[in-house]
Amino acid sequence: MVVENSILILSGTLGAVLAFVLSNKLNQGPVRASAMLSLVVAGFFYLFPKLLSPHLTQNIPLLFFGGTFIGMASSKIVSSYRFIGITGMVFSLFFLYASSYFEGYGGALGTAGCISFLVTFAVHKITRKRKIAYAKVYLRRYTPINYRKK
Amino acid sequence: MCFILKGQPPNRTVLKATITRILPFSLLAVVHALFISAIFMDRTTIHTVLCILFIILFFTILAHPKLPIFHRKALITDLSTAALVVLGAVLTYSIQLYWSPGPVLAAAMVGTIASFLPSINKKSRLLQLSPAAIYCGCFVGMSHKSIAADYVFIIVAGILSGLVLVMTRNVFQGVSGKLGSIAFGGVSLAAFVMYMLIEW
Repeated sequence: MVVENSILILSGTLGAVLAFVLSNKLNQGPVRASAMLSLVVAGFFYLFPKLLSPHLTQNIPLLFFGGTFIGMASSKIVSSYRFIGITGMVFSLFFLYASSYFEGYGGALGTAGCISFLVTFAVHKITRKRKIAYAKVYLRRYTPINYRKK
Repeated sequence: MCFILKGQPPNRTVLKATITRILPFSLLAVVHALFISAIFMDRTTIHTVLCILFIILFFTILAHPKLPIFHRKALITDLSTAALVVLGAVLTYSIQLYWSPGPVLAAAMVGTIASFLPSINKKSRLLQLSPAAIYCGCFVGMSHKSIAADYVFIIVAGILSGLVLVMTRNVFQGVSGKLGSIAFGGVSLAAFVMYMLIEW
């Protein structure tokens, strides 16, 4: 179970990072990046349904597809691969432990992806701002008066 | 409160956030709140999950005002994209219904074809907007047969999602999962409308 869950988390993270690379680095656009990668992965599992266990065969395309939504983010909003990877991981965990209440509702994967993105985005903003604030206070306090900007 | 974004395209200007611009923002926030609260309802007995969900809710609320707001004109072109949402939804649903390759493959196929549409005419604004609209429709069409019983539901959900897409065109740009959130909002609204009609 742990191995299967790890594979699923990895597939979500990989989907996010690959889609981000294809969309922003290779300039293919977010829709093509997400759809083409998902087509490859889902097509592979459609053609070889007995290659892995039924649980993995059913969930890897779903998690990869959800992961690619995170990779659809614009590089103007986020530019770090680490951020996208962490978001993909958060999404995978969210998907694995979320309720099945909205199962079958179109867009539930995207909503889970969006919420994961917002959570990571908020954490990223808070931590970055704090670091800058601390640095400013530190510099103001310990810079000699002669070196300060006038 | 003013949102600043580096390297913005020239046809979009960053504006001060007012009530009319915040409203579409709130619409998507409501969709997220609905999604999270549904999970709350289901898992209230498990304390750890509840704590994690509270943290998620807190950070989601915190992130919403930090996202940039744009201003884009040409409402008529945007309104016509609503029809493309319906097209994407119907196509994906049809593939699911008659071929049954699974929702992911159906949506990915339609999305891949839609992503090549802007290459037909690079000057057409409608074609430039079409991949996102059709892909949003794909998410609507991914709904399971137990939720979307027939084409009427898919068309209603597609129209509602299209309207939400037009309303929220100035917010959440470049944010992951925007199209999925819109589709989820549209499908939930359609389910609610259908339920009310049946009850009435």
